Amino acid sequence: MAILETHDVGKSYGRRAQWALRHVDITVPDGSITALVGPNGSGKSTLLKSWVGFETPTEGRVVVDGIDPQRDRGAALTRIGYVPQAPSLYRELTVDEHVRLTITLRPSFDPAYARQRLDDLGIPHSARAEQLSGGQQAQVGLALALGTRAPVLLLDEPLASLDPLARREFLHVLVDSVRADGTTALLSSHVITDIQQACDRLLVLGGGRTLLDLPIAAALAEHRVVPGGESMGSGRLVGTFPGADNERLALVSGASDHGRPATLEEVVLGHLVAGRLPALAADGRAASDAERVA
Amino acid sequence: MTLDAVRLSLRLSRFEILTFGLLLTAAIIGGLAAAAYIASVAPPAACLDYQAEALPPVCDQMLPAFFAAQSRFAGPLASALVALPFAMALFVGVPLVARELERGTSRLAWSLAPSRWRWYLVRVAPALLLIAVLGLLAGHALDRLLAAAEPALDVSAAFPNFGYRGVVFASRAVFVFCLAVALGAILGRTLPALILVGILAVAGIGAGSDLHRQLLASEAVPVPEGAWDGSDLYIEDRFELPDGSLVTWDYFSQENPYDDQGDPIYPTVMMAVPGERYRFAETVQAGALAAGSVVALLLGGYVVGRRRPG
Repeated sequence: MAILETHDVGKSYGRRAQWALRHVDITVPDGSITALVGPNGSGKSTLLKSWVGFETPTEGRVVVDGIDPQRDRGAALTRIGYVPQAPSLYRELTVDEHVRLTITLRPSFDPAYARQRLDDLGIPHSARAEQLSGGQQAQVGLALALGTRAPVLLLDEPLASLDPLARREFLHVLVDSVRADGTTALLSSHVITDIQQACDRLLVLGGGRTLLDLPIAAALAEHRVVPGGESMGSGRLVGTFPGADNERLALVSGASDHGRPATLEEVVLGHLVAGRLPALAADGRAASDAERVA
Repeated sequence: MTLDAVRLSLRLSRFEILTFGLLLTAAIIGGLAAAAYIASVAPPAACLDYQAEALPPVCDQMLPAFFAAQSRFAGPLASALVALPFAMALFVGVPLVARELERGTSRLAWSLAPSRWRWYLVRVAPALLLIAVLGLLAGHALDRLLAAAEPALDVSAAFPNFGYRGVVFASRAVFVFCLAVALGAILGRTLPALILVGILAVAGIGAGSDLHRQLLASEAVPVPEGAWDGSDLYIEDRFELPDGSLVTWDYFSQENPYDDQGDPIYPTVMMAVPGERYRFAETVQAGALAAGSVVALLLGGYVVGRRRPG
């Protein structure tokens, strides 16, 4: 059952109608941890903010647990725990004051649960937010979101400014909590290796459109990488991109036994490259394999 | 609204509230103490009868101390009591929402609060209450300073310093606060909002006072010669024509109403609103400012409900 949905969602900004999202249809299954991947400007944050009610879609609609945030933002928010892109803590408040502030803002907030998460990480309750490291601030944001006990967690690139150890700790807490509570999480991130260890589903956005929406296991099973010039067999070309040694690689989907299994990063890269061509097509038609190779 | 919510809300504006709150509290206490001191050194009423030809001998000793106390304490404290509530309203009001948008903390708060109106109320109400209470106390201290400086004046029925004391003064401070909150929410930037609110508050209060004065002018009555006691609100001088009608300068399109010596060719009459109308005028202006404050707060709430977080 889908707990997060979009129906033909589009969002444009400004008079020149730059579309951040266009014709996006997404369903995020209940209980999944989904990675939302895409280049800068692909509409990831816009999509997450639409579910939180921070953005109003120009066309189509978004749904959280059956509720349209544009019609009833308050009810939709009670279903969501949100971790914004940059740590948004009040620098003059202590960690414990953030917990108390959240109690006053969200009636269903579970302070004991949030405090336990903070204790587990050794984050001092008496420290002011400005005294915490970036990783600790992100953890406080996550603890507050988890403490809402909301069925959906939306995380907008919370790992972007964290070092590798802080990222790993953050994901560890996230996965443990989500698995224990049966929560659904949608994690927007650029860091593919982190996604692979934490998420079970992959959603790739590019040019404001959905390029891929699959369980990670299926995404890995369905794609192979073929070096440039080699036969793709019966597989369908998704896109080509340069490899580590600058060799041209082709991402192939479908029943092909040519080449080697693709890594998650290669799956994402191939689809992002493929996503560029249709976005440039004036008549909106899908690009052919020949166009993609070219 | 819990006590903890109020405390945390005030904590977010702690620097501004502590700085201006402490200064204003000190000014209020100082103003009340100065008023009591000035009243204690005030000479008998006969010494302050400026139309008397000779003053009692005791005045020679008491008047210098009385005037010295006024210039030493009343002047500086009255200036502080007038300036600080407006400064506090401005510097507490503008950042209330604007700083949340600037720093991005609104993303956290608005994602947690199912109702932004409730969030807005919790953020605004404690500071509003504080400004109103301190504004009333400052207005009262300014009332007492005037009463001490003018012992013959009943400040509850006198127009001197109208708008800069009593309830009207507190209402003006509250209005500036509400305007500051609303414009801070609309602009989402603290510094531009501070500048704009400062300009609009000065212009708005000035224009509102002029309008109120014009409305009050319709209540002006002639003041009999020698009956002026300083409690009335002077409006203008008029000329009394032979038929008894009172006309203004505008009446004389061709004729010069003054003779060669510069004396008026018709007797002049002073028009003023009687001091007894002070409470009514105070209520009207305070009511208008309260209505303006409510409109500004509702506008701020509407903007908070509609806008994107920073």
